[in-house]
Amino acid sequence: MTRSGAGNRFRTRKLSTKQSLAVLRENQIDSVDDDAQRNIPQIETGVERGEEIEHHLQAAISASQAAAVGAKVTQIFIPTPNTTEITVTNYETLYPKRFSQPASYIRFSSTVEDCGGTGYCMSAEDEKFFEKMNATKRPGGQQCRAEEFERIMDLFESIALEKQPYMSIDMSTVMPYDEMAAHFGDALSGELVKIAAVVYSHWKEQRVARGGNPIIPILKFEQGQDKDDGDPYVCFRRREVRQVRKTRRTDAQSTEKLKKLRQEFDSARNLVKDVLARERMRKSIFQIEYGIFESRRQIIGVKRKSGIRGDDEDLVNYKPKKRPVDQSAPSTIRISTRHDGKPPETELLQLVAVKAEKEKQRLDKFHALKSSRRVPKHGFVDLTDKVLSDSTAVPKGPDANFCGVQTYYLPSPPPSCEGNGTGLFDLLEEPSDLAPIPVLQVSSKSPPSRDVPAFRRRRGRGGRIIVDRRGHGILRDNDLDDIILDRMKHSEEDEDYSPVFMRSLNSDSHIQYRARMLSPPPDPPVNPTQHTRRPVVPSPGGMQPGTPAAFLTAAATQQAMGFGGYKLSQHPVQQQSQQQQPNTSILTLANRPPVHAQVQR
Amino acid sequence: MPTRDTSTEAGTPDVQTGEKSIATIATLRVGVKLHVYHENSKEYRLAEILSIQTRKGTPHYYVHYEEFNKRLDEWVPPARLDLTKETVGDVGTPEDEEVDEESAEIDPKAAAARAASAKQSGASGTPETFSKEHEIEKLRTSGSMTQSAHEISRVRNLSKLQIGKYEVEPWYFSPYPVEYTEEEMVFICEFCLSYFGEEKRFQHHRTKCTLLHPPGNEIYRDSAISFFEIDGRRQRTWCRNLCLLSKCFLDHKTLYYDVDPFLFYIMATRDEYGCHMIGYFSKEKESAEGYNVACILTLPQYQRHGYGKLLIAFSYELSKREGKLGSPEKPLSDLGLLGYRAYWQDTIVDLLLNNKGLETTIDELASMSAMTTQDVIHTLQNLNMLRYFKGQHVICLTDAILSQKQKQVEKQKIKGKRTLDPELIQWKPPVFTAANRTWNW
Repeated sequence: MTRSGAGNRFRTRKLSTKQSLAVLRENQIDSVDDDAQRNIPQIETGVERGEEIEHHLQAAISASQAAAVGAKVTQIFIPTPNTTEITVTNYETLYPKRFSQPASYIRFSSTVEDCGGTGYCMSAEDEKFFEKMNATKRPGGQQCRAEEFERIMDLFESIALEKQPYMSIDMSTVMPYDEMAAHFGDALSGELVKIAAVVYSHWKEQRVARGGNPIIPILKFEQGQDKDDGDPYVCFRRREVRQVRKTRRTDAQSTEKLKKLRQEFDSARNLVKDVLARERMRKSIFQIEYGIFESRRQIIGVKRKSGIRGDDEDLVNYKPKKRPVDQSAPSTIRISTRHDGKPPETELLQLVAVKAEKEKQRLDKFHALKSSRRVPKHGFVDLTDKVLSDSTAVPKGPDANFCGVQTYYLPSPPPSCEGNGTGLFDLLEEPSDLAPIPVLQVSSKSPPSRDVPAFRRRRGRGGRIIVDRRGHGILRDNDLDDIILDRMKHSEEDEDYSPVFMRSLNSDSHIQYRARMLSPPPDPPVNPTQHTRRPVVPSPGGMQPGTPAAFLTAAATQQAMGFGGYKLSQHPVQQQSQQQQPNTSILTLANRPPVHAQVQR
Repeated sequence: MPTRDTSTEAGTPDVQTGEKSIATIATLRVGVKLHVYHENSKEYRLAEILSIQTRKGTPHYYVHYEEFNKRLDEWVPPARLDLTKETVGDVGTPEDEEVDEESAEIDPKAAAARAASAKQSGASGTPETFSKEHEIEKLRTSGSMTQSAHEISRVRNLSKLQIGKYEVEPWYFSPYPVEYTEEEMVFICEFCLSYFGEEKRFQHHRTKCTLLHPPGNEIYRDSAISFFEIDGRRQRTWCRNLCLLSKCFLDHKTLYYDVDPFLFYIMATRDEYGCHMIGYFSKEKESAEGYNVACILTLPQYQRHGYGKLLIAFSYELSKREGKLGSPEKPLSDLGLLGYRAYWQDTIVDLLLNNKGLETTIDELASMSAMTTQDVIHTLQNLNMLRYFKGQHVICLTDAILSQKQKQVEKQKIKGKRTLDPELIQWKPPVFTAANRTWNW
C-alpha cells in the first residue's frame, strides 16, 4: 500500500511539527484530490519485520485501516492460547482473606525475603520424613515443628551453597555432618542441633538425589564461562561496567590540554602584537623627531636669512624631567644574576638579623640604665634590687609628667570646603582668614610652671589612663552661668563611668565623632535654659558631648592616640565662655580640677 | 477470518529449491516443514517442526505454524500431521501455494525480510547442520535476544502456570530453572511471584508468605485499581520473579540483564485477599532514547478487559508529570502495536474533538498527550486524517473516525469505561544518582 503518484505530487512540502494545522471535518474538504488520499501510507509499525507479516496482525491492521477509511468491518482479535481457566478450588485455603486496605496509599519497602519466612519449603517427601521422625521421637524429646524442620534444611542448604558450591561436580565429598555442624554458629538452639543431626541424613539423601545441586532449583546465573552467553537459561547478568566515565575523563583531559594550548598561543600572539605596536610607535617617534629636526633646520635657515635673534630654546630639546615613578617601576622585573657568585638574597635584610639588632639595642639600653643606676640619685640610696627604670631621666615630684600647653595664634588655614557650614573650619570664616585662633599644643617634656595650663597623663589601676590637668582654675564660680553649673552637677557621675572606647580609634565613626566634637553646633541655641544642643550622635557610654568631662574624654582620646599636636578648634561650649573671657584657653571651663577622663584600655 | 494458506516466497528468485519428499513418521526431523492441522482455524497449515519428544511411546511434535505468532506454536500428536503432502526437508521453499494479492502489495523490504527469515528457518534445518555461521546470521537478521541462536528458546518450556485463581498456559520460553520444565504445573505465588515446581512446597510457602500486595509504594488508587511503583534494585527478587513470569507472555522481552536499571509499575485490583496484579509496565530509570515504557503486559487472565489501555494511559500520565514526551520501546509485539494504536487513536481524536480552537500543531498535540511527535504524525497518517488541502496540510476528522468514536461512546455507555483520574496520582518523578541507575552489587 504505497502512496499513489498523485499524492506524491501534492505532498511536496514537508510537514513541520510547529506548523499550524486547521482541524476540519470531511465535508469541509474539497473531495477532488481526496481519491488520491484514500490510500493510507505504509507506516512503520515498530513490530519486528519477521512478525509484521504475521497473518493475524495483518488482518487486524488492515481491518483497522479499512475502518479508518470508512469500511464496515468487525473487530478482529489476535488469537491467544487458551489461557485462563478458573479451576483452582483450594484458593480460599491458600490465600486467606486478610487484606484490609489502609486509608492512605500503601508505603512499603520490605523485600520478598523479609516477607517469605524461611526460604526452604517442605516438599511431599520432606513431609513424609518429617512425620516419620516425629513419630519415632523418644517420648521425652520435644516434637519438631515444621517451621523448625524448614529452618534446619535451609541452614544445610545455605552452608552447602557457601562452603561447597561445586558439590554437583564432585559428588563424593558431600560435607559430613560434623563439618556441617561446625558452621552452625548460633543459628540453632541446643534442642534443634539434636534434631539437625537426624535431619542431616535426609538432607544428604535429597541433595544426592538432585545430583549435588540445591534441593530447590535455583536460577542459572552467569558463571563467567563462555558458554553462558548462549545459554538461554542464564539470566539476569550483571551488565558490564560502562566505560563512559573513563572516556569522559580522558576527554576532559584533552579538552583541558587544548584549552591551555590555545591560551598559550593567544598570549604569544598578544605579545607579538604588542611588540609590533611598540615598534610602530617607535618608528612614528623617529619620523616625528625627524620632522622636528627638519622644521628646525628650516627655521634656522629662515632665522639666519632674516636675522632674527633669540628664541633659540625652541631649537633645542629639553630633556623632560624623569618622573620618579618611572624609575621605581621598571617595565620588566628581572631577577638579577650576580657575578660574584653569591646568591641573590645575600643583600636582603634577614628577619633574623633585624631581630638580633633589636635585641642588641635593648641590651645596650639595659646596660646603660644599669650603670646609671649606680650613681646615687639626689641623696637617695636605691636599696631595691634590680630596679631598672631610669628615674634620673624624669624629674621627680608632683610636677613630673605634666606637659605644658602653650597657646599660639596661627593663621587659620583656608576652609576645606566652601560655604556649606558643616566643615571643620566654618566657624572661623566669619572674623577673617587671618584671625588668630587658639591652638592647643603639647610642649616639651620639661615640666611647665604652675601658671601654664598643663596636662599629665598617667596610668591608673587596671591600665586606666587618667588625664590630670592643672592651671585652669581661673574661672570663679560667679562667672559661670546657670547652664554650666547645671551641667557640672552631673559631672561627678562621670567618674563612675568607664566609657568603653573601641580599640580602633581611626575608624570612620571615631573620626566623625571627633570632628563633630570640634565642629560648631548645628543650630544656635534658641533658648539657653532649654539646653537645646543635642548630640547628633550619642557619645560612647551615653556621655553628653556638651559636658566638660566628655570634652576631656575627647582630648584624652587624642592624647592616648599620640595626637600631641592636634589642633583643637573651639568647642561650642567654649564659644560661649570665650565671649566672657577671650583669652582663656579652651579648657578653662572646668571649675573643679582635676577632672578625670578615663580610657579603658 | 480470511484464510491464507501459506507464505508467499514462491517466485522470489533467491530462495533455493530444497529437497521435497514424502516423509514418514520415522523420517521426520527438527526443521522439517509440513502441513499440520490447526484446530482453531480448522485447516492444514504449513508448519515447522521445532522439537520432538516421545511421550508414552508416541512421538510428539512441537510445531510453529508459518505466519502465525509463536504463541500459537504447540505440541501435536502424529495424527495431526498431514503426511500425504510433500514435506520440505533441510533447505527449501514451500510449494503448492497461491500467491495472494494482499501480501504481494507489502513493500519490498518486508518481502526481503521474509525471504531472509525463510532462509533462516530453512537453514536452521536439522540439528546436524547447526553451525556457527548460521547462528551469527540469525543474530544479525533478528535483533531480539529471544529469537537467539538457540533452538531451546524457540520452544515453550513450561506447560502450565497456576497464578492465584487462574491456570494459565505460557506463550513463550522463559528461563525458569530448567528443572521446572518437567513439571506439569508451575505454581506461582500470587503476591511474591515465587515459583514452585511442587504443590506441597507451594502450600508450605503460602503458610509463610505475608506479602499481600506488590512490595512498593502505592502511587495511584481509584475505586477499581491501584498502581504500585517498585524499584528493581531494591526489590531484586520480586522484580526478577515478575520478569520470569512476564517472559512467559512477552516474546521480545530479554532477561539477559538484571532488573536494577528499571522501575516497575504494577497495576492491581483489590479485594479482601489482597492486591492482585493485573499487569505491569517497566520503565528505564533513565532512557537514552526517551522511552517511557520498556515492557508492558496485561496478564493473560485479565486481557481483553480494557486494562491494557489503562496501563498505557498511566505510562503517559507519568510522562506528563515528568514533562517529557515518551514512546514505548521497540520492537512492539503484535498485541502491543494494536493496543498502542487504539490508545493513540483515542487520545488524538479526543484531543481534536475537545480542541476549542480550529487550529492546532503537531507539537501541541504531542505536549498535551505526552506522545512523541512522530507517534502523533503516524497516528494521524494511519487514520487518514492528515490531508493536503489548498496547498496546506490540514487535519481532517473524517466521517469514518467520527462514527467510530460515536460507536465507542455508545458501547462505553453500556459497558462502562475504564479511565484514570490523574488527580489521584501521588507521585513525583524519582531521582537517581548515577550509581542507582546502573548496577550496584
